[in-house]
Amino acid sequence: MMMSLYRQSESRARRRLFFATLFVVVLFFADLISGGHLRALVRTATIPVWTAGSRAASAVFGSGFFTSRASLLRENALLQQQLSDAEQRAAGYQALKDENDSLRSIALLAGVEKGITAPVVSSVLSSPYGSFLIGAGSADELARGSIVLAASPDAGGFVIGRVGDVSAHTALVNELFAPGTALEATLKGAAVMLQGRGDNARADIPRELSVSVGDIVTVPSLGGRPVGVVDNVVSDPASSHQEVYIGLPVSISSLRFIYVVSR
Amino acid sequence: MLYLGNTTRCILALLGFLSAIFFPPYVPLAVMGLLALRFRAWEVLLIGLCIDFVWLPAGLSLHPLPLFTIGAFILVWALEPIRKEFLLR
Repeated sequence: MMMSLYRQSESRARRRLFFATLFVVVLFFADLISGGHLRALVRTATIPVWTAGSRAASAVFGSGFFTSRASLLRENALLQQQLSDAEQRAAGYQALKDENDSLRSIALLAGVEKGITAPVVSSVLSSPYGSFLIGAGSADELARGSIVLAASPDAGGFVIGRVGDVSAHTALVNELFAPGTALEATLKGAAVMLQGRGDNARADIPRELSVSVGDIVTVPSLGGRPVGVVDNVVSDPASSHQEVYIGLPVSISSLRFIYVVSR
Repeated sequence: MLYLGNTTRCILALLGFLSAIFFPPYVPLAVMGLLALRFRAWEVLLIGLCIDFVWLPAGLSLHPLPLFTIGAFILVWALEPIRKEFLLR
C-alpha cells in the first residue's frame, strides 16, 4: 500500500516536471516569435525589485549599523542617536556627491556629442552575458545599436557597450568586453583583436610593438572612440607575441549613469 | 519532515529568483544546483528562464545560447538518478 502511494506520488511529480519543461519551452519560443516581448515584461518587472533592493542595501549599510555597532554600544543613548543621525546625513551627502560627480562628468560629454543621459537600473555584475539594464527606452528615442559611453573624470568618455533590446522605458546594454566577444581595435596605430573577458579584454600583439600601461585603445568602427586603456602587459621572451590586458579607467560596477549617443 | 522540506524548497526558490537580479551568476547557478539535487523542482526551470529573459539579448539567431535555460533542463532531467538518492521519502 505504502509502496503504491509512493509510486503514485513519484509519477505525479515527474508529470509535473514534464509539464513545467513543456511550459518553459513554449514560453521561450513564444518570446522568440514575439520579438522579445515576454523578456521585456520580465525586465520591466525586475526594475522595481532592483530599485527597492539597492535602496534597502544603501539604507542598511549607509547607516553605519554594521561598521560602527561595537563603538556605538559604548556610547550613551544620546550620543548613539546623534552619531546615527550624523552618519545617515553623511551617507546621504556622499550619495548625492557621487551622483553629482557622475552627472557632472556626463555633462561634459553632453557638450561634445548629442545624446541622452540614462540611469543604470540593474546590477552590472549579475548578468552571465555581459549586459545590464538602463532606465531609458524607445519613449526617449533610444535606438538599437546606439553607442553607450561612460564618463571618466580624468580621461573623458569611453565606449562601454551598445544598446541591444529596447522597450518603452528600459533598454539592455551589451557590454563591449562581454565574455566571448571579439572586437577589432587599434592600439598605437596597429590593428589588434580584443577578446572580451567580462571585466576586461585581452589581445595578443607582436613583440615589436612597444606598448605601455595607460596607452589608449580605440575602435575604428565606433568612430575611433576609446574603449579602454592598457592595464597590464605580459611579455614572455620565448614567445613572438605579448599579451595585453585592456580595462576601463572607470569601475563599471560603480556606474550610476551612462550617456547614450544619438544615432 | 515534509514541512521542513517544503520550506527549504520555497526559500531556495526565492533565493534563486532574487539572486538572478542581485548577485553574480554563480550564485543562482549554485541555488539551482542545490534545488535540483534535493528536489524534483520545476522552479529550477523558471529560474533559468528568468535569468535568460532578464540578461540575454533577444534575437532569432539563438546567439549567445540561452545557457541558463539549457543548464536548468540538464540539471532537472540529468540529475534524476542522483536525485533519487537524496529525495525526501
